[in-house]
Amino acid sequence: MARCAALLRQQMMRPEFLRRAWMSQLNEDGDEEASFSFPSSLIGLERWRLPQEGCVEFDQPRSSIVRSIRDNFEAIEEDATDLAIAQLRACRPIPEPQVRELCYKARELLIEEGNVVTVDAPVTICGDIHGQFHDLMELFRVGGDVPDTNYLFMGDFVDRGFYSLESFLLLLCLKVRYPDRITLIRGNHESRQITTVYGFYDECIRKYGSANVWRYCCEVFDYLALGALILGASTEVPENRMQEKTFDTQTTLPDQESEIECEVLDANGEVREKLFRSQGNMNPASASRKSPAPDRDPAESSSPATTVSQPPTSPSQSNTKPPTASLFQPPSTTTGSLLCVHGGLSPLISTLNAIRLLDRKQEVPHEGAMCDLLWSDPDDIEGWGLSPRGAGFLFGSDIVRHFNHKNDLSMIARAHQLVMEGYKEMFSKQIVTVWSAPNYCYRCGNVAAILELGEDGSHGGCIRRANGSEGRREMVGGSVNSVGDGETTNGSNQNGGGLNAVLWNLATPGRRYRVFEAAPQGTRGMPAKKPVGEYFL
Amino acid sequence: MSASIPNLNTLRRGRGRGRGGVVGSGGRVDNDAIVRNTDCDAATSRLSAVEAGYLNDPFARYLTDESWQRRLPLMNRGTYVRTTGIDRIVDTFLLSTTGQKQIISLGAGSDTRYFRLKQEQHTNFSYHELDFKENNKIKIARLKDPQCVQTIKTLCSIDISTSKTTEDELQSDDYFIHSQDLRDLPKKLDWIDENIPTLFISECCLIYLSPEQADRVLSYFTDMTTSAPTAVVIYEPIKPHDPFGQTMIRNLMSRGIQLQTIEKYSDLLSQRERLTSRGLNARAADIEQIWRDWIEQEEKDRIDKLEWMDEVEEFLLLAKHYCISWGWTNYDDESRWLALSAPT
Repeated sequence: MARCAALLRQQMMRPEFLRRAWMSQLNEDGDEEASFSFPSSLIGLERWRLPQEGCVEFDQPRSSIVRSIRDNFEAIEEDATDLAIAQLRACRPIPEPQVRELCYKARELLIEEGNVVTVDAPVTICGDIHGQFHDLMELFRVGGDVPDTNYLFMGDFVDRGFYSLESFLLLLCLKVRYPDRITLIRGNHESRQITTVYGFYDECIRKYGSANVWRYCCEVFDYLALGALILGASTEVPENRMQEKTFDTQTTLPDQESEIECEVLDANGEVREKLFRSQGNMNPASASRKSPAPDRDPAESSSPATTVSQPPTSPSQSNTKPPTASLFQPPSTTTGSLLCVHGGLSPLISTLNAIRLLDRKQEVPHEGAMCDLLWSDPDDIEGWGLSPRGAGFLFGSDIVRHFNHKNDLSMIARAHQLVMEGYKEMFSKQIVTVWSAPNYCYRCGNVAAILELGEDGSHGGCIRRANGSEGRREMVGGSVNSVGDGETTNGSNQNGGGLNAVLWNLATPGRRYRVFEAAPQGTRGMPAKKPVGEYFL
Repeated sequence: MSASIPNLNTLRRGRGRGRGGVVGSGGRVDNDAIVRNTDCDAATSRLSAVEAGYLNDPFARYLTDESWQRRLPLMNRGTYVRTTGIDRIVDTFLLSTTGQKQIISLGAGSDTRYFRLKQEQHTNFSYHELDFKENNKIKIARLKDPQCVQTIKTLCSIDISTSKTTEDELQSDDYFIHSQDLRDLPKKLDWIDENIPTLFISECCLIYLSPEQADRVLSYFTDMTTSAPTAVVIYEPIKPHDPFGQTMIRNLMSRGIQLQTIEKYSDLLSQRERLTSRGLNARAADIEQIWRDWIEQEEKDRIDKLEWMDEVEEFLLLAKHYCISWGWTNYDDESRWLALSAPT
């Protein structure tokens, strides 16, 4: 038996993970040579059995054992990942060698992704998690489990909370197991420097006795994408998962006037708030929730001399035509696409392509475009401003409007800032902050939210809605006079130009926010001894 | 056999009381221990801010338990603003009159302010600290540490080792540590001079008393000096009703800490009225306003550079829930007091 194990080790040029799984089974049979042992809590040994019952017997020829392992390789590997997922779901860390293996695999996956990952709707967008593991479980309960729901997490998985390790590794495991179902992008806390200040480093030391796991994780951080581009989002609020799933509800054309643009549900799926889409964004329902000030463009304030401050590289704004639909070139989406990024925009970035050209595989720098994408915040200012965080910038509504226009985006989704209500739409719905760590740091008393986007019918073979709303553009800023449905002309934005600096940006996608509170303490094994939240005493 | 089994009830007692906040007979002892312990928290926060470069306080390390841990940048910043804010009020008090003055610090615990004032060459004042016996014992033992004695000698030109000490009390020329339970104040504290300008400091102290007790303590001191200039500075949490405040109350409750007066003095207005009703001119500002309005831009820039501050929103939230209120009366020249800005 010992020889068998040794031969296996020699011959199988398989990832270590499989070998270990195999050897731990041998170990159980009393093989002294098997050098690696899993803690018994991890090994549900019956789970490690090969899918084809009985095909692995030690009296079989070696080649047949190897062959059967090779034949069942993927199944075994999935099984192993599933096991790790199960363990992490119970909020128990996995052993260090397994973390190394996981991080290695994750890196192999992430290295294939571009700086801006393309993601197809439907998808659920999540903001900061910050090691609040039990709240992440609550998020999955409210938003649906993986792989039934597609998720996009916009970074800041670690730091501050007590379970950064379990939270990040679980998300990473899910990524490895369901690469197409879950997207992870980098937050400013996915950095060596920040994690040494804000807790993740200390947590790894505490839980493993060395910095190895922290190091493995940091290497993965360097490979995380910087942003994601969501394509094919519908202008309609996605089908409510909580209701009975019936697939043909879309066949009845919804009444144009009563189309729901945005819906807010509580954790039980009860509708708290509904917002109807109407022309020109001037629906009283939405107006009542928004303060007008941040949404107004300077060009509106009737000063002819006002030219909107822009990134220096965009004098050719007026040449940018929206994609016009024709028989041969139907618009790819009914809405524009949606950019997801952890922090926000950068004065050094005026197009998505500029993001794509960055060299991201490094520690987050202290300044520059990559730093800004992870650190910046939208603010009620014009143009750019200095950030109180000491990294990144503040950017105003004009910046967002032009960036979205230029890049055919209907919206930017970002995280990074604590918002007490869980989400906050700004600048005429041009940008939204999504925050997914309820009662942040066990202290802030905030609720959390996730954002669900539905799939536009075009990918599913459904009949395109023939109500003229393809490529529909909505006016952002400027006067309301000339609004017409189906309008596709590019509003004048000539430099030194018009009184009405109206930009016709793409219609926002239908949005459903699910708002949820912190998982109840105690019931989910919250540490009782640890002081909860620091105060000044 | 039975002798080796510990009496579980004696073990359980402290925890049970602390958590439930049940005050039965003897419950007071347990709650006191929890309140006394808050000083350890404060000392840790102070030393953390010192070590990170926010505050200059060479004495803090000698008066802090060795088990202290680094605090997050936002806590350090909060500690910095709180300390700097109160320092400013103390300075105002010390500079407003010329003759002999006294400062009385309630629940002073491991506070280092006396030594810092001495280091800054302030003269003509005596400094009295009041706290529980148990806290004083610890402090006096720490002050006797040779290194501490040496530091104080070097920086303040004071030989603390020559002062008269008992186990829990200390007397020197101008520095005094008194063991005094604020709930059992005698008719008259014989060491108080009612005829000289007096400043009372409560840094997170009165809030742990019941509203009646806290009011009585405050009146006790403000009524004492009737014609001499008198000033009060109170630092404590406010706003218990919004989500952050509710969470704060709940979290502290789970540690057995009850902020007893926070309902009564829940905002800047009621904090101010608490002092005006006692005949003082009063102002109040939250920590966020103090940071914004009292700290010079140059100093802000220095602070910003000390640590990455990725907790901007959280700091605002936290800072809005702590306030400094201060009042003064019987001053011929109020100009220094009036120069301290606060929202009206």
